[in-house]
Amino acid sequence: MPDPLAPLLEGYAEDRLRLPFCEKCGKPHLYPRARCPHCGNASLAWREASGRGSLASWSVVHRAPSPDFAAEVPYTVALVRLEEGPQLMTRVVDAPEEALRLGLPLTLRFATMPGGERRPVFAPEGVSA
Amino acid sequence: MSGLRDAAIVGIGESRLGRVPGMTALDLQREAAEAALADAGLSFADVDGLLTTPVRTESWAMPCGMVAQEFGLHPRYIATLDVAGASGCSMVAHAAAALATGQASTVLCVAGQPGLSHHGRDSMVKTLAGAGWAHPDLEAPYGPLVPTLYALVAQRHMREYGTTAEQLAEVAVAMRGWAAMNPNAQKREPISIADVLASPMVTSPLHVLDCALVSDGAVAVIVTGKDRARDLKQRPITPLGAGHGFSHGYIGEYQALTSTASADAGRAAFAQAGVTPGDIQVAQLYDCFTITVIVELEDLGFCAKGEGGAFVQGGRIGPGGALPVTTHGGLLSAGHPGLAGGMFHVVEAVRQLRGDAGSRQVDGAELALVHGNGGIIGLHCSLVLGRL
Repeated sequence: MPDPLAPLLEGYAEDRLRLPFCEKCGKPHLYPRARCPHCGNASLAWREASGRGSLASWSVVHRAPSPDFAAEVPYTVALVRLEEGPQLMTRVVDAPEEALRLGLPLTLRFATMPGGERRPVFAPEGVSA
Repeated sequence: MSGLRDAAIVGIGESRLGRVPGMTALDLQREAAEAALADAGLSFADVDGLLTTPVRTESWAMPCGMVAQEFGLHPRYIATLDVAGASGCSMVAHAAAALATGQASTVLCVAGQPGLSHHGRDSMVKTLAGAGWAHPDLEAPYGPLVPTLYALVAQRHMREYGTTAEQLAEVAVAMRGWAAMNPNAQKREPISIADVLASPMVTSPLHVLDCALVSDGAVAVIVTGKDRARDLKQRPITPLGAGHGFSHGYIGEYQALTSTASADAGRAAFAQAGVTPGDIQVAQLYDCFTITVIVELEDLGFCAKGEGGAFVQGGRIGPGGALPVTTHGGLLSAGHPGLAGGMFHVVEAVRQLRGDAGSRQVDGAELALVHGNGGIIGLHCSLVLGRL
């Protein structure tokens, strides 16, 4: 069985956020699974996400979970609901905590995490990188 | 279905809890198991069933085998059970099932570890952050603590329902109020709402005092058949209802953030017991974080969704409150030795129902709800216990 995460992680390495859409029921999902969690179908097509989403929750981390993150605190870990429907964990960048609210419109960027991973992060719409 | 009611909790035991230097997981579990057997008037020779949980302080491939070996047991029913923080409640349900299916006559449920002495708080925080609660590829790279994963629930609850930091702090203050009356509790000095709000912010909106302790300790419960229980030392306490619930493994993909499968677990347990939340005199709710208790109160049906914050205000779940909750002081103040943590809630419920809770005794405690929560608020077990 191929790793269901592989297409997503390969996309991340190229600064692309692609979602697995079910070829039967048409719905996308995250986190990636071998079968569509909505209908159980195993045939999935990976398509580019719009990169638009809204803020579903967040937490500003003040205490690093390990020394790797110590230089970065405080940082904002967030849950973002993508325009296509699925939700993922990410970070919100370039936004003070006071500006955060549920439903805040966000757009996709990519950033390198302290462990070296290239990962999607989000910034408020209209804030340029 | 009468199988569950044919079981009885006849023995309870705790090891010393908090910082207990020089003790291995097996030392602590022996202390708890011997206390529970003595409480029941039984010995290891009477035990033919064993349930335990994994620990994070030893490299055991087979925890139940390690524990059985230590105690010199050769049980005909034996298993390592892991439904994370719900394991304490779940062990009682599984023990009753083993009795009902003739696989054992007396089951020892035991768990515990020297989490504080082995790791220290910083090391435990780091260990838990890398323990797989956050998805290793899709969450951990962003740097969440385990408390961050619960903070995401708390933040959403506050923004969606207007729950305040003061209301979260009420839960911590209530737990400390109970712990002050528990001689075995790790933290007993009183705290105020202001103290919680002034404690260092770990991961907003959760302060240090919104988070569970890291502890050394172990806990044990003896479950046997009702017929046998009548001849033992203690008033038997009966499991009247039990239920589990599961919604998600990783919080990142869970969109209904503030509604949990504790509703499913509670509904099943209440239905089997034939009672409702209004019939419960004392509720031992899993309290890994202050937000956990607020969400459980709502999902278990003690108040409406979104009203948990208002519900806990004014000391309502603390000593002297209308609904006494987690009367030993819980994971927030009594102690949290890993998967054993939620089993202390079971032990406290038994104490309350026996009328043995000393200065923290709840008057007229005849029915208790015990609730365990595991993972990132995704896995649940509820028990209704009674004096029948």
